Amino acid sequence: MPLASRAAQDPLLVGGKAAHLARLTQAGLAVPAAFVISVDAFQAHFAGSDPHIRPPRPDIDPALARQIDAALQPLFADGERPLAVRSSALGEDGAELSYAGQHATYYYVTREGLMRAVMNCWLSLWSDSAQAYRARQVDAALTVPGFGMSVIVQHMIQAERSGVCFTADPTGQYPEHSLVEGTWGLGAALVDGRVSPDRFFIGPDGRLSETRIGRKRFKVAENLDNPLGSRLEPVPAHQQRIACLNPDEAEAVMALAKRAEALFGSPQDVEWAYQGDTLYMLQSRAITAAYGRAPEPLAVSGRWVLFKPVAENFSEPLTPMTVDLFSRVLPPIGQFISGRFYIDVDQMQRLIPLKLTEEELGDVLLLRGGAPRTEISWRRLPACLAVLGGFYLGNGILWHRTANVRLETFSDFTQVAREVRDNPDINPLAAFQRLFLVRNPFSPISHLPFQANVSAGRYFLLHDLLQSFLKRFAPTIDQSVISQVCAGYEDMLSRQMVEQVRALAERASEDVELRAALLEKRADQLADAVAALPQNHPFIIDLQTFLDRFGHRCVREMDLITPRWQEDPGAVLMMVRNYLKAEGVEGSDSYGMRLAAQDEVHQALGRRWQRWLADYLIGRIRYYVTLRENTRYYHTMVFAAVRAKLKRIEQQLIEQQQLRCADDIFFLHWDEAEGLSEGKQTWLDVEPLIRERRQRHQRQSRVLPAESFNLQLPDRSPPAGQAAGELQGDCACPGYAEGVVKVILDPTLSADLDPGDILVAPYTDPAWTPLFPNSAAIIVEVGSYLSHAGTVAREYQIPCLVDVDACTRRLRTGQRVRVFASEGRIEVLP
Amino acid sequence: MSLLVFLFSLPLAVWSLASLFSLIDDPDRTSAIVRISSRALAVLAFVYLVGPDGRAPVFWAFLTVIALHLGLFGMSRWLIIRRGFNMKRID
Repeated sequence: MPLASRAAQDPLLVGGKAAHLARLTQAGLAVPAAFVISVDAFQAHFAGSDPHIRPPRPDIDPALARQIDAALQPLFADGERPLAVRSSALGEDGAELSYAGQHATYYYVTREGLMRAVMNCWLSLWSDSAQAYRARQVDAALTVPGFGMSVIVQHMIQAERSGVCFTADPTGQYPEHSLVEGTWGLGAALVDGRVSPDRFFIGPDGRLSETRIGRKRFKVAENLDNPLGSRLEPVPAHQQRIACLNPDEAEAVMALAKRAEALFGSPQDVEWAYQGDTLYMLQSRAITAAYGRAPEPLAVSGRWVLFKPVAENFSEPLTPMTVDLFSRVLPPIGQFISGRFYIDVDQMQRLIPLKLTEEELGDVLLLRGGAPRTEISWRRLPACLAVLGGFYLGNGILWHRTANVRLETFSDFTQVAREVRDNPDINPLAAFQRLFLVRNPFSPISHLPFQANVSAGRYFLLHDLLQSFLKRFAPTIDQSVISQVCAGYEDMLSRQMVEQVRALAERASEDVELRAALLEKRADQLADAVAALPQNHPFIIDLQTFLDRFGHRCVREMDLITPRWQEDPGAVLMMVRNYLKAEGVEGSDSYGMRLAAQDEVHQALGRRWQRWLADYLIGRIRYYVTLRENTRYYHTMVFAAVRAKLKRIEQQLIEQQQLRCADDIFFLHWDEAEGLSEGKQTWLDVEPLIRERRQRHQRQSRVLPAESFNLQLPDRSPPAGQAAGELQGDCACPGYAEGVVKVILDPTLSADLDPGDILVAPYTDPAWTPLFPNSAAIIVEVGSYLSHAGTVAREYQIPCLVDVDACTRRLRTGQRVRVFASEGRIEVLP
Repeated sequence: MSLLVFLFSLPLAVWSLASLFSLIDDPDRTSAIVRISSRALAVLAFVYLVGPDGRAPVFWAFLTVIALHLGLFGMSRWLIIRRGFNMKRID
């Protein structure tokens, strides 16, 4: 029956999806022309079949074949064209159940292949994933609809751009906004989780409020030149970093979706596509719990809290391969939940011999502020001392070995990582174990950068000690002075990285044309501008030198899926551009400031022993801060080496047709990837796993990680009487600044920062460092005093607040704010 | 008394044994030898202070620390390579 027929609105006859499309069509919305093969036809072919046992494939009834042939005539009135064949099960796209991605859809179907595609759609009701989905709904006591499926046969929209649209923010983070997500090519790449889409936030007035450009590395091609080949194509570099919709188009998509919302009377999740300049609606369904802030309630037993010292790396969930490898080497103090690492509160509580309320315990574990002043728990003290003492006796030698290391000796690790990376006999898991944690007690400490990095975290305790000491003997000393004297060494590696980027900017400014190109071209065109330079151009030579040294770094460097700067130097060019914009802006004299601050401390302390003790503590803190930063530079080489190995395996598997798409390997666990390599598994075994994990990863990426599970945390909402335009956070570097907010979510995609701007970021890791010197202040959503943002901000004496709840959403680019870092608050100016 | 000497010797053993690793950690052999010598002197001074009766507890303290240190390394290595350290996860 055609979608325009009245009967097509009956969900019991055509399934939920087709019924919705029929209503949309009849309301005059732009739905591609289609007809529906009703559930009756399914029942006729599968009468008496058990929903749990896949039936044999029946032949299509000749009478139905004739009816389908007749229904095709209007669709082919203007000549034959490809079709999309889509399932529409009973209950699909209902208010409670979406069945999203559970049943088959076929694109580019020809007249000859139509019957086979219809039969495959029907049989997908018995697929493993669909059966598991139905079983979960039964377990969740949801109403499971009848068993049957209709099939929609529709004009194939060869979309250059497509995506989904939510008329209410599905993540619950922007209650007043609606959201359009889009990518290049067909929307399957987005729905399958293969791309990180562009996100367009539309305000209540229907106007585009904010655009966040995603990393669109692949697209499902809109044209099928080779019918047997993969439709997944890499997106050209210049298109990856530009928005796929202009503001008018994004608003038009939302306007269309709002019409669907008005029609159905509830917030809708709409699939849309642009073919040329024509906008089509492909599907509309109610937003279900599947897209909510907590996609599926997690059955987490025990109490867990987000591991803040590394939370900066996990603001986005780690991919399954990274989680799998990490799980094998991290000590059993926690576990990965939804791609983020959480520590076991009950275990940690046994190690803290203090009487703490649950809220105080949360504060301690989230590293908010200093240790609470509370009573000692004498009952817990003996066991706690025994555990800590035993740990010290077993691990103390390593602890002491890191106390006086010559920092330059860690450069030996570069060669170690290179040898492991290039040795084909070492598989990625063994490489991860060997480089990351498996320790020979007689290895030089320079071969154990991760252990040294963890040991260096003791500066946090020394810093607390110094603060208490100065509070007692030099109460006039300000927080900012303490922060200045405790800065790391002037030649620490993250500083050297900043200086080298600055030197690259100076080199670029020697060539007038290159300088103009870097300053004026769009972000997506920078790589092309540099690629056009001759190989012996001084800038290219310097850039290569930089990449040889720092090319193993990148944002989210702990996730193996992230391309390193060596592979994609676009982010480096963005940083060079920022320094070109800041020409003439003098950097602060941190060395002079530190000496002056140390002098101030000396003068405030009356006795010689006090000065000696303060100098000792300051010296130790500076050493450990530098050790922590430098060892991180080296231990991230592990991720680059393991990634290189995985990419080599992936390339082989793609050539053998055992994987179909770049980065698929990061959605497998190592045993599965190894099984593919050894021929124990095939693409058919892993394809559903990859698809399901990619979709889950995308859902998890939309939401912020829960700070804890089953733990009562302190209420961080603004206290009564506090101005509505104020945000609060933890001070990582004291000071005051006023400026214009620049929200940057990913420096590889957008990093235009003018000197004096206030950088607002979801997290920071070393790849963000070159943005810091241009910033008047730094505001970070996650993190703690120990995180990278705080450490480097203190190096440059930039006021920095961390753990500012939802700052990337509550603050908008262009707003003017005052940052009172010492007081832990931000004031939004009208 | 022996128990007290033993308990006090434990951190001393950790501290002094760590200095031996200077030979593989520190490319400057002179400073490594200076560090080892100074800590060895401290240990000798302690042994002298506790007298002949204290030698056995000091010896056992050193042995305990060596055993714990190598045991911890060996155990973590075995755990990681043979069965994975912490395979719990919730996707």
